[in-house]
Amino acid sequence: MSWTRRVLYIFLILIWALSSYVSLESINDIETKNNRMNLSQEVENNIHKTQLKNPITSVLISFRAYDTLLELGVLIIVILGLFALKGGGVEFTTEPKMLYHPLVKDLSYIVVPCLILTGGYLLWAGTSYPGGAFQSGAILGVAGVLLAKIKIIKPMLWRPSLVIALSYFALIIFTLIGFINIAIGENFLEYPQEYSYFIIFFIESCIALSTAIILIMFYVFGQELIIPKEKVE
Amino acid sequence: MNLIINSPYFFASTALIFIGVTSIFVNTSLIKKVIGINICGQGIFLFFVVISNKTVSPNSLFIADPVPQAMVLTGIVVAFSATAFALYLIRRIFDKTGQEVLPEDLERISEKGH
Repeated sequence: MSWTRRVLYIFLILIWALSSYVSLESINDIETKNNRMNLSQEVENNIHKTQLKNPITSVLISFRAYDTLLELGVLIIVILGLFALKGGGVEFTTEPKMLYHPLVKDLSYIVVPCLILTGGYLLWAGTSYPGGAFQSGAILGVAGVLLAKIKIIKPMLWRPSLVIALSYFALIIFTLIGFINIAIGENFLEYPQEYSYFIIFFIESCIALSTAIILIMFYVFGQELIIPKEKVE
Repeated sequence: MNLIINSPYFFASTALIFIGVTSIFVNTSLIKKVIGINICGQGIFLFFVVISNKTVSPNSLFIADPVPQAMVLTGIVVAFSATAFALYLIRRIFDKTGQEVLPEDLERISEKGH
């Protein structure tokens, strides 16, 4: 890279950093202070309506539930993108032979139950303590990716339609709960206060399951359908 | 504002964003660019968590603002799904062309050798 290019990039980055610093100056103006909505105060005032103790989970799944719904949609769009690129055959020319060493398999028999237990605890603790749906979904997904990489389970060869259906599961259930709310008489995705804890926990478990399945699909998507050319030591 | 500027994590987030953006510009290899994008994204999420500092009053339930933390959780999920898709695209580019560079960067490699 030539020197003029380097100087230009450094100059642009400095201008960008300076402008982001200057834009924080208006936080202490009197005018913006009076007109500003204090969202953390609103969460404190309304958290009794969700029967939860953890404010972050209540914000994610109850107060900003629409954002979480569309985030599940983003995950599904990426899955569809993977399917769209699938043709042509992604051939692996090398695969490490140490992946199938018996020590890896025996250690995974110890590690994977611990991961599942941790994921389950985080899912249950998400309502009152730090934890939540996406965290537990990530940990369960890691357990699944480990099992699928060493070919203990082969999800896309066994039942691909079930795997794909489970990845859509959370989005469909979340939308259905929204429409059941309309049928009961509340607004879309404002849960009735008596059953709020149960509904939020149910939605969280569906999100954890779907996120785990989608993670497994990301990392082992084309691999099981392709026979590797050779295994290298 | 004082809580943000006086926190060391603010400077850490600025440094992470700087490192990430620089490595997107500098590297020709696509995987290094994706790593740079991830580092930049994590720096932005750290900045969100710094923003959720607030001064604690005695009769408040929570010691931090929960709304930016929920936005960070959404952002992390979107970031890793975009990274997975980008890695799949890079894999397909490698299969088609034999090396993982964009066509604009091929001249840079032929000039300088890396």
